[in-house]
Amino acid sequence: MSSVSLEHIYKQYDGSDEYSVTDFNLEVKDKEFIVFVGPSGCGKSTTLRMISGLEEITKGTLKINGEVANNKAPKDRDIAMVFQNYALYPHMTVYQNMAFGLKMRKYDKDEIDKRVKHAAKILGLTEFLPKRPSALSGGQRQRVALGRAIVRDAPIFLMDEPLSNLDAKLRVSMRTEIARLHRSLDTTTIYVTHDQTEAMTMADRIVVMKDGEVQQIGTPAEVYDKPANVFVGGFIGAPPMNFFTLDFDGKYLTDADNGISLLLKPEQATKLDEAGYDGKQIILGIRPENIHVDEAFVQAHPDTVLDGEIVVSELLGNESQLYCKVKNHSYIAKVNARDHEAPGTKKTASLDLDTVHFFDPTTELVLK
Amino acid sequence: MKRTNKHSVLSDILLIIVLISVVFPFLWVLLSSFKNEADIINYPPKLFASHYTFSNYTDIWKTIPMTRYIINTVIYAVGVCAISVTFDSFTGYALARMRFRGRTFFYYVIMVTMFIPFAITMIPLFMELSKFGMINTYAGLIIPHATTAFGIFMMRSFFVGLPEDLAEAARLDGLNEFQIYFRIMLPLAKPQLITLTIFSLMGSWNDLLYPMLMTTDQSMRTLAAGLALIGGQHITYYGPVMAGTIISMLPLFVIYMFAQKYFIQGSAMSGMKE
Repeated sequence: MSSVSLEHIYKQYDGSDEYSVTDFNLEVKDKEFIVFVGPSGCGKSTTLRMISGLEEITKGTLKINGEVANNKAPKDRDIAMVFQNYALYPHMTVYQNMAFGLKMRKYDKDEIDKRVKHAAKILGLTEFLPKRPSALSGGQRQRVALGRAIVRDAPIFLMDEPLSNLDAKLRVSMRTEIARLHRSLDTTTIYVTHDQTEAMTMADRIVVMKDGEVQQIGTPAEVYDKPANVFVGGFIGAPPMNFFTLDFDGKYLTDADNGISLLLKPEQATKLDEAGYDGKQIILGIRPENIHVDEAFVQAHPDTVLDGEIVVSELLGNESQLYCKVKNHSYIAKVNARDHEAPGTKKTASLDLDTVHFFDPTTELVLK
Repeated sequence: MKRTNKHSVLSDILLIIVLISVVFPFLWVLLSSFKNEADIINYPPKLFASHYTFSNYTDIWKTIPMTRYIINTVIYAVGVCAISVTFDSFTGYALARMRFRGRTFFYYVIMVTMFIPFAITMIPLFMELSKFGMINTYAGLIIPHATTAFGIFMMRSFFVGLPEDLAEAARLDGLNEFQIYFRIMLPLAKPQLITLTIFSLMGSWNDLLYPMLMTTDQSMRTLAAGLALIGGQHITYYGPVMAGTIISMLPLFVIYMFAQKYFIQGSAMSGMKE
């Protein structure tokens, strides 16, 4: 059993007036794959480093396996960590790099040898064992860094943006490799990334962060389908969610300046009415794949139409991303490749109202 | 290889001129050490003599206590080198990677001492050592040179450039700060340490003024000081001086030949993503 629990964790750096991490609460279950995701400077790496012990916790309680670990030295926390820039010891061979942590912990020579060779086999590094890191490619170095964590047999893995220095193709293959390793090693993993695709594809649960605060914790599907606020809606998913700030008159959502008028479904109108938004503004969020341009859909949904013009269009093989504009308001539609059109084309699109999200314009929180 | 570039021809010529001007004095000393006195002071001077002799090399051993001088020089140079390279790398590491109050202040103070010429500190230093009774002692020769501002500056510059992740990975591997220094950082600093060792050895081995000032006793003199004082009041025999100079140059020359590849080596970043 290995669990990590963060209770009201705060971090304030010396000389700073503000908290870098504010009231972070999370219960990481045994064998769970948790991903912290957010833009640069959102506090995700700081939180990871507090868990590792490389950074002090200003306030709050960190428990590892039920024991308070705030003041435990990093080496006593039963964790293994993979760094963004690998942090391999340049003067040691791959074998020595992987064996070093075990040697420091006074493991038996045969045991070290067994573990290193086993990890090397899993990672396909056997032939590189006598080589120095300088003789390896980026992907191989990152695998050595993973190997160094694997040999430790630590129940908890911390990974700080381990793939961000790799090229796009390698990143995808290493992503699957890490996911596979996680399954076969049965470790509890906390993974930090700014890449929402990594978060979506690897995580059991995602922690979305911004400005040191947790925005939402949930499974990839929850975070994608039920974003807690405008930020999460905009951050998770590529291309990002479209937002329209519209006036609600009890029936219609309108933006007179841009000529947008959407007739809501009666139950949606009632819900907004009951929430007290009649005569007020509201933010409507809709994912690009829920804006349709095919004629059949548009004809079937004539009350939610946007008469836009394509500004940029990107054909991605099986689908196309149309960057459109209706007067001064931009939006993105992700459509089937057969609906791909050149920029400058007028294109009528229709919103699938069953998939929209409503957010309060002041708090930016979703309306439930 | 065909050379048509005017620029490279010109730079070759310049290089040859510089090479000759640098090498010529050494060549003169080397050849003169095998000449007899008449050939050395012959006017107009001639680079090559009519006949060569080893007698200067035997004479120098009879003229001055060469063995004593060599022992003194080795003790002085190796002592200074070992202590200062150790302390310089300690201090450089602390100034580069440890957080403590006054770190920047101490660094600047150390740097400022680099700009004070020895001529200014010479007399106070002599008086100080004299008060402590350290004139004519190895301690007096070595201790004031136990650290150098240049060495600290050089080691600090290197350690500052090492990524913090390395230390953090080591910390997670269970190393304490001393182990991080000795097992991770120091091995990476090998080229810098060797360079600093050679600089330090060279500096002390060839140092003239300081050992001359701090030793009055013939038995405590170093090679450089001893050779400089070889000349009598009215007459100087140049042949033995040239031979002594060649003898004193040899060890450094050999060390440099073995260690020069480290001068330009820097492999510290190779395990990291640059």
